[in-house]
Amino acid sequence: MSLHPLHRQSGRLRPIAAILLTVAVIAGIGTYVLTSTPATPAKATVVTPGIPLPEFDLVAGDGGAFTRDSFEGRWSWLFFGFTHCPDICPATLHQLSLARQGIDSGDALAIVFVSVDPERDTAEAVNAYATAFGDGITGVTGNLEEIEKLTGPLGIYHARVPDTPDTYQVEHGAAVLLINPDAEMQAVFSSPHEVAVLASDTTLIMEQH
Amino acid sequence: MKTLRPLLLLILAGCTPAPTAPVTATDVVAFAPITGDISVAYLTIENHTDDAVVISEVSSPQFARVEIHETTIADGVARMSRRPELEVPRRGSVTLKEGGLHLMLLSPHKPIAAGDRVSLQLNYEQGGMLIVEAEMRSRVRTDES
Repeated sequence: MSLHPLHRQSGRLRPIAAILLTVAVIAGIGTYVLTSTPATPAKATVVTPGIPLPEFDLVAGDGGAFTRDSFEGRWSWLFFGFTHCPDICPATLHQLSLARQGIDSGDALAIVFVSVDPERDTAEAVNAYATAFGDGITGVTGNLEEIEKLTGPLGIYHARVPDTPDTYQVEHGAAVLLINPDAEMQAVFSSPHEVAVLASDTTLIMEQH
Repeated sequence: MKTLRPLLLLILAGCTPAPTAPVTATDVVAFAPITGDISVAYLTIENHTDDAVVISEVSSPQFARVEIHETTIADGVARMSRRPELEVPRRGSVTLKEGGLHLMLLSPHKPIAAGDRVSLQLNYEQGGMLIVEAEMRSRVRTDES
């Protein structure tokens, strides 16, 4: 009798079918692993668990108190600079306001701009500067001692540098910090900043919290 | 044939394209102050000549002082340093943009607002200058430009 090419002895699979089945099972397991493993941010350095912010006593642009409690209940991007900064501070605030538009729940994300030049940056000055970039941006200033209670532990360097005999610039850390609703530092974005990455990394970190 | 050659050369001479200016500026963007009175300008400067061009001074009729500055970020710290001059390499260009080189426009003779036109004069060390005009824009933009 002649055997049909597709049939072997009854009840046994051809080796090729066995191989295909194995591949399918492996592929299935692989897909499960890949889709259930959390994605990692492209650029942000995530800090887990978040580092609780220190206590400090500063002033918001509207004249009200700005303290650690002001960070509770919502996510924030925290950035340090000064209003006499012509280039990097406006550029970063603009990038942050654009990035926020690229986040679904972005309306709830606060942008906080803390001055490292309190001598020139009064509450009115930081308020005018910060709010020029849109709603939901808070300018903060206060005594240098209180500002340093925040910059020190967060690793934000700042120093005054003479410019002309009458003026000075302020060197400052250019990182953007992501603060979670428990007033803890959850991630650090080093500069240079990119709008798309700020948006996508922050979305990811908020989802994974 | 002898008379044809000079005739051909004459025709070809008439076909040569008009010469480009030796140094040109493109992508000029100037921002009015957000608060205070510091304005900033960015642009790309192209050098079409075979020699490097050094811009040794920048001035403006609208401002008491214009300075060349550069933002650098090293070890996460943003610093701004004044540059005494700007060299544009031969057959090359220099781009002033956010986060890098920029012109600081200081002490305006009268308050500057978005929409105002300003003029910048870039003087070369070797003599000569480039005049650039710009319309002041608001820093607060809703698009990505």
